[in-house]
Amino acid sequence: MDFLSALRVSGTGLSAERTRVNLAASNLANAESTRGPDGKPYQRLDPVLEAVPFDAELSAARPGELQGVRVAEIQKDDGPGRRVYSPSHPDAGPDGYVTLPNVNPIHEVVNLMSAQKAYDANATSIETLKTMAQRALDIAR
Amino acid sequence: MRIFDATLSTLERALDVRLARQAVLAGNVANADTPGFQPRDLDFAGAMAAVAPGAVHAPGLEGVRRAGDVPLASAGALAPTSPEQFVAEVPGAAAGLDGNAVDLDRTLAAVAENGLQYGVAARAAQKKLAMLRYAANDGVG
Repeated sequence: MDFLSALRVSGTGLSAERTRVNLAASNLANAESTRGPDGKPYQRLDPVLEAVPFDAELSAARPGELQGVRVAEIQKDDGPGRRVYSPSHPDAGPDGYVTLPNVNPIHEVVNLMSAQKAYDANATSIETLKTMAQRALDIAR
Repeated sequence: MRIFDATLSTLERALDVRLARQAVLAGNVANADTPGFQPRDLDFAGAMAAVAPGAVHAPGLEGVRRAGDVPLASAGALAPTSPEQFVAEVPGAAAGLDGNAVDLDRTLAAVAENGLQYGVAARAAQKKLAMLRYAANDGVG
C-alpha cells in the first residue's frame, strides 16, 4: 500500500470514464450515419464496466480489497434503428424507408453528463491524494 | 514527560491507516458506474486499535492512556496486523437498477474528510518534530 496504488485506482476510473465519453461522442457523431464499414447503419456502442482486483499481490491474500475498474468490453446495441420515409435517399429500401442508427441523442447527452460527473469525482480523489502527499512531505520541513 | 514517546509512531500508524482508507475510497469512486458493485470502507478506529493499541480514545475501547504511558516496545514494534484487514463492504445507497450501491456524494465527502484527517495527523507529526528540533537546538528556532 503506497501513495501510488491509490493514485492508480483513481487512474483506472479516469480511463474508464474517458472511454464512456469517447463512445457517447462516437454515438452522437454517427446519429445519422446510414452506412458503416459493413454497409449497414451504425449501431450505438456501450461500454461494459467491470471491477477488477487492483493489486494482485494484495488481493491474493484478501481477495477484492482494492478494486480498480476497467472497460470489459464495448458492446454493440442490437436494438432496431429508426425508420424514416425518404424515397430519394441513396440508402432507402425498395419501400422508400431509410433505417437510421438506433442512437437517441438525449440518451447520449445524459450519458455524457453522468460520465463527466464520474470523471470529476475521480479527479477530486486524485486531488485529495496529492494534498495528502504534500502534507506528508511537509512533515520533514 | 519524555521527548521520545509514542506520539510519532502513533501518528505514523494513523497516516498509514488513512492512506489505506484513501485507496479503498478511491476504488469506490472508480467503480461508481460498475454494475453490481458494493462499496467498501476501512474501519479507521478498528484498524488503529489493532495497529497502535492503547492509542485510541474511543468509547468502548479499553486502555485510555496518555500517549506517554504507552511503552515504546508495544507501540513501536511492527504491528502484526495490517490496516487492510479492516476493509469491509458497507451499505451504501440503495442499489440502482444496475445493482451498483455507490453513493458518489457520500463517498466524495468521505474522501475529503479522510484527506483532511490525514493532513491533521501529518501536521501533528510536523509539530512534534519541530518541538524536538527546538530542544535539540537549545531553544533556538
